[in-house]
Amino acid sequence: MNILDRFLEKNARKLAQRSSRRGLLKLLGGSLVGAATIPLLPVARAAETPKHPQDQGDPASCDYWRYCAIDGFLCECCGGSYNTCPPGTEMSTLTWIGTCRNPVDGRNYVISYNDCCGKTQCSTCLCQRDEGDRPLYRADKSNDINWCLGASSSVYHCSTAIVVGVAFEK
Amino acid sequence: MIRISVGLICVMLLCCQSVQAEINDERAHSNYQIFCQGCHSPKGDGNGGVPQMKGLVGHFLKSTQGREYLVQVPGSANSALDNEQLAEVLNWIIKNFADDSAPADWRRYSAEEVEVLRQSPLLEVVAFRKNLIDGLPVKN
Repeated sequence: MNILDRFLEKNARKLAQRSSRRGLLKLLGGSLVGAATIPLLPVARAAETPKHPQDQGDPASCDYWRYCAIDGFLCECCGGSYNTCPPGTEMSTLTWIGTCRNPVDGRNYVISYNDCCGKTQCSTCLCQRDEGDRPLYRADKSNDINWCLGASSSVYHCSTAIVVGVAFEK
Repeated sequence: MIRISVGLICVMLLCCQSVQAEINDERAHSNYQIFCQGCHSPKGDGNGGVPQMKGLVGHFLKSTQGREYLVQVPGSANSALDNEQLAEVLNWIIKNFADDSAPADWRRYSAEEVEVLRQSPLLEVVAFRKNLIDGLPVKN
């Protein structure tokens, strides 16, 4: 036990002679401030892939960036929103998919245009921009299909525009 | 001599591993979202008459005809994806959706294999698929 005591005492004295309390505070303070600023560095922010895009524009207007490939009535004008169906309608699980460039961050996002089904067509805010739309013989890339075929009722009401991911950039 | 043979086998196995097609997960997922997800759903669950891939798609790799089917099915063969992209998306689908259904030693699709197979797309898909599934060595 004495040996251990002597060993610890010797090393504690050595440490006390070589370092100061101010030095320790300086080191601790520097480490804390340094660690806190790392996430603020521009390189750290640029490396992150945004899960939710920054938004700009009016979702009730056909010019809204998410509607670049849409063909239908905007649910935003029909009692729903750009990502929810109006009450009394059902969202189709089969969807038309497009990609739109967000003007805020310049990235391309994958947009799922899920149709809302089960009530007669909304007939308000018709929006037909059709970017990337292909003729019906390319069924997987045509927005002229009634995508309500994936819902329990095939009666079309309006369309949403849901961001499902960031498109891969070459 | 035995040691040399074992070494040679190891080298051959390593070579086979190295020629397996690479999967860029981010690119493959993005292509899946743009070209497949509209019908097959984000997690391959299937709906509205679209077959479920989640937990099942790997069974097709248990027969030669099944392996070919995944390329020849119209959604694959007629897609706008080029051969490399289609091979990568198919490999990504099996990697992410097959769960335990794929054989442990399944071989990834290559662009060359896809190029040949997609020249013969299926016409009577539903009937072909039913016969294929009936013949797969899978219980239940």
